[in-house]
Amino acid sequence: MSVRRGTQGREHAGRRTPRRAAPAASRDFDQMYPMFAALRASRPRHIDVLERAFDHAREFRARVVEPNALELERRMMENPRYVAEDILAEAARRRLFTSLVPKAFGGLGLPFGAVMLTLEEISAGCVGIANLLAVHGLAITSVAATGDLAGLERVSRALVESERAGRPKLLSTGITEPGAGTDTEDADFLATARITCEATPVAGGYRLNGRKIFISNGSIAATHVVYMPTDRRAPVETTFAFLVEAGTPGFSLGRVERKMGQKACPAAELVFEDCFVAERQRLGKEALPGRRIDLIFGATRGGVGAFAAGVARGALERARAFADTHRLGARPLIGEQWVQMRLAQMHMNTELARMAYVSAMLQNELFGLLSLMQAGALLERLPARLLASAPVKRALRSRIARERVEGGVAGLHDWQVAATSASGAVAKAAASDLAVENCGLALDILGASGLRHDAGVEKLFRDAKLLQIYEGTNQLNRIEIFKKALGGAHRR
Amino acid sequence: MSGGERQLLRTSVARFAAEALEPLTEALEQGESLPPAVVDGLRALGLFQLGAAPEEIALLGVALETLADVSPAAASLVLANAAARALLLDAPSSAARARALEAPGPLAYPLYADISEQIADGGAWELVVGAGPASHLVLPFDESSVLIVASEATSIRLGPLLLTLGMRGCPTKDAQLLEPAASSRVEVDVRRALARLRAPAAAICAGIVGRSLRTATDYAQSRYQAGALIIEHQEVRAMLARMLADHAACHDAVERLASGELPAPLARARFIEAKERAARATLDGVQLLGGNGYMEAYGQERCLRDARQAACCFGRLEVERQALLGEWLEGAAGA
Repeated sequence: MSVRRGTQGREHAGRRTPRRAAPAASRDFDQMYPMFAALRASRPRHIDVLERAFDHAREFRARVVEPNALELERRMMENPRYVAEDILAEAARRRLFTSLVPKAFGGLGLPFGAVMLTLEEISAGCVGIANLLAVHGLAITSVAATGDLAGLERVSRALVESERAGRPKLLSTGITEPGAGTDTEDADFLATARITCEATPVAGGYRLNGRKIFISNGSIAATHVVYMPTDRRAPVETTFAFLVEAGTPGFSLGRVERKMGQKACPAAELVFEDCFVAERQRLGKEALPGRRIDLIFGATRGGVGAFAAGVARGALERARAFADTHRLGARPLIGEQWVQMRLAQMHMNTELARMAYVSAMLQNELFGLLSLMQAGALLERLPARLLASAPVKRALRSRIARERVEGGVAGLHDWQVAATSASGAVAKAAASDLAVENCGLALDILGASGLRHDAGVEKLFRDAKLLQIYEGTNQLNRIEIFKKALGGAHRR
Repeated sequence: MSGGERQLLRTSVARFAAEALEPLTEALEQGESLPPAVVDGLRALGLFQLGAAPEEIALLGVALETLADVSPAAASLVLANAAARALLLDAPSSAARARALEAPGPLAYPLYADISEQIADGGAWELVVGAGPASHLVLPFDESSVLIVASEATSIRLGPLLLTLGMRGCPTKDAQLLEPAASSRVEVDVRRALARLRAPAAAICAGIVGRSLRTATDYAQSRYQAGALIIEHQEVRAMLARMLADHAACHDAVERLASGELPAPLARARFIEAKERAARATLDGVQLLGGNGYMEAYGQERCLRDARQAACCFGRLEVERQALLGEWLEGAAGA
């Protein structure tokens, strides 16, 4: 597929042609993010970074996402193994894959906030494409959580170099198993989960066996970060992250799923049959379950919140554009009071979804994993040339550096970990519920037109539902909120 | 209509759906249309002849609830035909009407159009259900007239097959009238004719929710989470209980609407309720299966898409709500 380049701020003319209710341009940065704009005087450089990321994402959405989203989806419907190489290349050209990667490893090292704003904007156009471009963030976060700086450097450098070449080597994260979905994302549930995967210790490394399912980008990733216990009878104590390269003997792809929406981001089964990985491919010294997993999902669930805020806004923009240009009988649709009320509700929902994820984002910037991942502000201030020098590289791989990051995770207070975890769960569950509601309201406003694929709104509805499911179902996230924010002990 | 007749029809339709439609599910989802053999099968069951008299409405309700359990797409093809027939039967005699009614069927009708003071928009209709296999299109022009157009007439241009949210496989196209004078426009009270079809339309909702509930219950009884069967979790039990209540409400709506005993506002209220509950219940149905619910292989996501589309049958829910209150206030003033 050759990428169709769009123009920014197209006007929608005529009642029936084109059918697609092209969204009007959204409000600008100051209006959408007053919580940041208000800080411009005190933190000008930081706010400038956020604003540039927002503009950058808006340009990508207008020129690449909007003109290609529906066609890409139809291609993926025909063939779920289709790879959107042109879109990946356009994203690579804009360095969208390495925005989270620390500067020390060649990435842009953008603050978490800048990445979240980017996710919202792209998701307003197509959350499937946003997921295609961003799901490796879960892998990077997982690697960072292990405290294995050498591992983080390896995956980061590979991503940076391939991005530079225009063919990004993507990362996927293998967590879900056929008999254990939600259970794998909570340490309490993991204890009784029906885990079938196991990384058996052998001479020089581990033999991986089992299957991982629903792995986003699993069929196109070059490297997989796979969660597996070394003893499946004790998953809480022995689950580690392993790096597995595509093409490793014993590793293969199973089914690529046909799913309801977010088709731009393929979901695949990863199959491990006596797949040998070397000792150094096991990341970190301590098992992930517990505060490390809490910190990982505290960050990435905030990202799902940003996806959801984008979908909520995309639904609002399309419904508004439709109401402005169509009639119900002889009357303009926008003149109907019920339409005005529904649009107002959609605006409220969008604002609330954004507040939820921004709150999670700030929590992460205060004491979440991502603040630790940037390997300290000191490193970020070093000139790039110095960062690439051999002594600094050696220092990053050193035991001292690892202990510093390890110490960072260990040094957090329990309440800080709990607050980060809870805010991520709140952002994910609240914003995804609001996004699904907005898509339903958009369908109500568009009526028959909303049912057609070429209008783009039914796609939003299908895409939105997955937000309530991945990164733990919203039911699991409510349990997390009860445990982490309210200090409760969960019972069935 | 006897219980025996109902049971016989239910059994016949269920057998046809299992043998002829169930194996086609995946192909229909991938973009194929209901094949001529299926249309012939529906015709052979007599489903394209039902939909005028009260007893026929009840039978159609039974048939469509059974059919929608397997293929809401096929059920919506039958419903569109029934809507077109109901409109023609209420219209005064004319040659065009007679030709359309004598055709073997199905007839096509824009099932999701709002019935407002001006339905035809510049001579264009969206989502005409059945366009393709239908011999004739019956197109509502305004609240009090319809156009009858032969599918092969040069006065009409049909667009390509459309991909829609749900009901995939049901042949659906846009229609554009090129020569208004060449079509036959007949007077008919569109709202009144379509009101008779609420029971079979609600039956499609009931059929979809029934399947979704069954799938969710089976899943919850066979899968584990947090060391226990999913069904042992209180939250899951609450979701299933809501779905059960939704299904009961949809099914009850079909029965009450088919009886013809409900006064106008209550009939409309029941219809609205069935559509709302189907859309809500199937959201829970997907959620309950987690990631599996989102994958086509389990069929649950199809229930959600089909239910959301069924909720737009005969127009927007909000337009229905506004009309409901109008009818109720009118009735109260009359009393």
